[in-house]
Amino acid sequence: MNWLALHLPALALEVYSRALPPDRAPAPAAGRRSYPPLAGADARAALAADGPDTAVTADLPASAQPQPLAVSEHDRIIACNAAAARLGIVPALSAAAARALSAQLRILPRRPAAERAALSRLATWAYGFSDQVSLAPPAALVLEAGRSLKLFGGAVALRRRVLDGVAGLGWQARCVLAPTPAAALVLAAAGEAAQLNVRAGTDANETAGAGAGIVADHAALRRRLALLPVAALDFTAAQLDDLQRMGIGRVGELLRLPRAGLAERLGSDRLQQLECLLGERPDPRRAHVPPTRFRATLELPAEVPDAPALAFACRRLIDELAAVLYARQAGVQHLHWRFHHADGPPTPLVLGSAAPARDPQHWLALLRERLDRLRLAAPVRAISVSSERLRPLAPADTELFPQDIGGATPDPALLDRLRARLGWTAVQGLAAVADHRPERAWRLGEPSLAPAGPRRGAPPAAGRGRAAREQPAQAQETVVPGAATGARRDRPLWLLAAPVALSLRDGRPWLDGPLDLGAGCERIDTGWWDDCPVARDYYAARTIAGERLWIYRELRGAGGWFLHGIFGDDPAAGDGD
Amino acid sequence: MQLDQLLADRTDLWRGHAAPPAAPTGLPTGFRALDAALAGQGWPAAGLSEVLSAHAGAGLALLMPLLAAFSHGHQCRGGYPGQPRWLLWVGPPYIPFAPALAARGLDLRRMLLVHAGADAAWAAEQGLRSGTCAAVLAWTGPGAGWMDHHAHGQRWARAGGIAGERRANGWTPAALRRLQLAAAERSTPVLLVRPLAAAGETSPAALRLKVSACAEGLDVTLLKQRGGRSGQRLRLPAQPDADSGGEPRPGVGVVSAGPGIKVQAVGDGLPPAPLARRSRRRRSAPRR
Repeated sequence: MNWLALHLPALALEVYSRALPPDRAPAPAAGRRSYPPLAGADARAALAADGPDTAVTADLPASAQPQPLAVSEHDRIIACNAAAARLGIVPALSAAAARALSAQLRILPRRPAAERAALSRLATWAYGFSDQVSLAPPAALVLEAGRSLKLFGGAVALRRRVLDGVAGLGWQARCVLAPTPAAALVLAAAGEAAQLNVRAGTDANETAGAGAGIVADHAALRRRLALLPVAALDFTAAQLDDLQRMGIGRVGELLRLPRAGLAERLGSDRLQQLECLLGERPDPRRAHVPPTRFRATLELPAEVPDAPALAFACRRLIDELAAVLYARQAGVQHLHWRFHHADGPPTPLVLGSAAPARDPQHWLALLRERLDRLRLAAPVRAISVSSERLRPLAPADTELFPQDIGGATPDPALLDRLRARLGWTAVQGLAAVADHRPERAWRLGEPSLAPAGPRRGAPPAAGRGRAAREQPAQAQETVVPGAATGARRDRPLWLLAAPVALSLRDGRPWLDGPLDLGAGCERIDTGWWDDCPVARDYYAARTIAGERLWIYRELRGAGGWFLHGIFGDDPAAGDGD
Repeated sequence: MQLDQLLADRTDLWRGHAAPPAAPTGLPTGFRALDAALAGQGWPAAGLSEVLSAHAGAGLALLMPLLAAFSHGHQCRGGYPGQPRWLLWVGPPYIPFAPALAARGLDLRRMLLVHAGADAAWAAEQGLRSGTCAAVLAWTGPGAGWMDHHAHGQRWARAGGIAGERRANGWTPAALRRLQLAAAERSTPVLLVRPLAAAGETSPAALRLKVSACAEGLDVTLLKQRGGRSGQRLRLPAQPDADSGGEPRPGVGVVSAGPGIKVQAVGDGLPPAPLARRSRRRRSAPRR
């Protein structure tokens, strides 16, 4: 039992229907899940189990409620959902007959490319279980599980975990562990048909309970294969006809025949196939290489007109992304969403996070915030998401006593949440710059809570030496403490974004009364070397009411008096201590 | 005895016959006269405080000692010394001038400026609920947000009406109530700087005071305080008192209590075990 095969029986349909909440009504035909969804990842689906039309359907427009869906290829129905099955639609029905049965049935064309892409993404997800994952188109994966058994706690636990994971991503799957990859694939594809046959046979203990889907050794494999109908092997129709005429219905009867004769009748490649099945011949497989970026597209079965209703479908993609990131121990910082319409360019949406993140809840919260205010030009037909290169993500350190030792870095989720709603530039950090021009003495920056060092104040400012060197003598009477970091005690708490011109009365600046200019001024005359020359005399003035203002007299051009800042406290007191 | 204990543990319950609580539960304001007038001997540590001011400078000056103390890792209710947390500034009316703030002891790296426009109340609440903010400051005036000033032709708005506050920035009475509840729940102080016109409105704030600049410094009137007297008018010096704020020094601003004095929890609804642990830690903090 070294190989684990995963077969997706409803892949053709689920490429579409995965965008919808699971249909919980009992399905008479195949297409019903036999295992519970993953608790955490699919809480909404679990909610739906209590009342099928409360929690889930609230998210979706009426047009997206479970409606009969079928997928056709060459005018034949190849898969249908439970709602369609209730109407009597069965696979292999012709499309015309299906339409005759029900007018509301939606028949969608099969999309082999989407199936291949979905399979490939699932392989990337499965990379979390094994480093050797191979695609087995059209609808199966096989992974080397022998080396993973110990890590995941045995074959039963591994199989359960894979099944839960796949269900959480919204796929139905059958999973078989077997000693050879070919046998695992054949048994997984044969699925319940094989199980029924085994149960009818003598080997009851192998299928009972936890042992289901696990073939322990070659002897058991041979017994299990022997009971399969020959149709389970991918022989051509002509070869199957041949075998039937020979009176051979089961694989066991086929294996009892002499090999040389078999090769003559069926061809040597079929014989090799049988030998691979039994492990008598090596069966090398090409390993899937996970991509360095995440890209996924989800086709919606019906057009969705308003943005918030897209949240469920987007969640599928986010869950998938999270699973891939988890498997790769990676995170992404930006997600580029595109909502495709029937015509016209797709609506883009870029989600950003302050730090590489992989928590699906985090991404979903950010997305919901943006979807609520997204304006769609037209109903959405498909959603695609792509990421930049995946970045390695160090798992967050957890403390032995988390209550007593606070983490040094706070949760970046606050920044992300604020930015998701208000825009990237609406949330800023602040830094001081060592420049004498008030306009240049501060700047906005990317907020970051660096661990507080011994030096307080601003991060090192650019051009600090130059500003000090070019300092005109009259502007700097004393060496101001903290000048290297730009900190100045004698500056106002508030600076006006643009100076406001003051009116003059009797040649004195006036603001609700004459301004008391106090004693002395500070001349700032600098910046002649760049694009922002400044020549001003600054005064700490007082209004009649006692409010202290920072005003200046312009020395260049037309002159005039301007209000530039507002003090809160006394700028002179505490200076130099 | 147990009932007494339970009653003593609640600070939102005022008992007329009892002496005022011996242990300071508030965050020192940096002004001795103001500390003495406030019920918790400081800003409410877990609640909404309103500063009504026509003068933007006076409003911020009153808050500076508290912000400086936060910058240096003291007063870490619900947090731990050394764990940096944001000082969230929502909608400041002008540019907070970095050189002056740094010189007055603010750690600029902890400042988070948010220009939220109509979502100001939402942004403040997000900051509170995230638990990563040491304090939330918000300016509610109609002209709040200097980025908006750019848009409005750099108008120099000196005072604002209450209608603009509500309409423009989402500061409805319901939003204030939510904020007060969130502040109490997360044990985080919220400081709201509002226009003078808001004095006539009812407010869920635990503390409301009016401040204006005057010749001597700051003119403060207590409009309302929970668990204490109001109506006093104080003249505060232009500089914070040297020993209780302003230029930070070790030990300043630590909510400390002497041995044997029970440190009271301010309605943060935590189970008793962490409280006991926290009060023990606070006792071991250096006393000034």
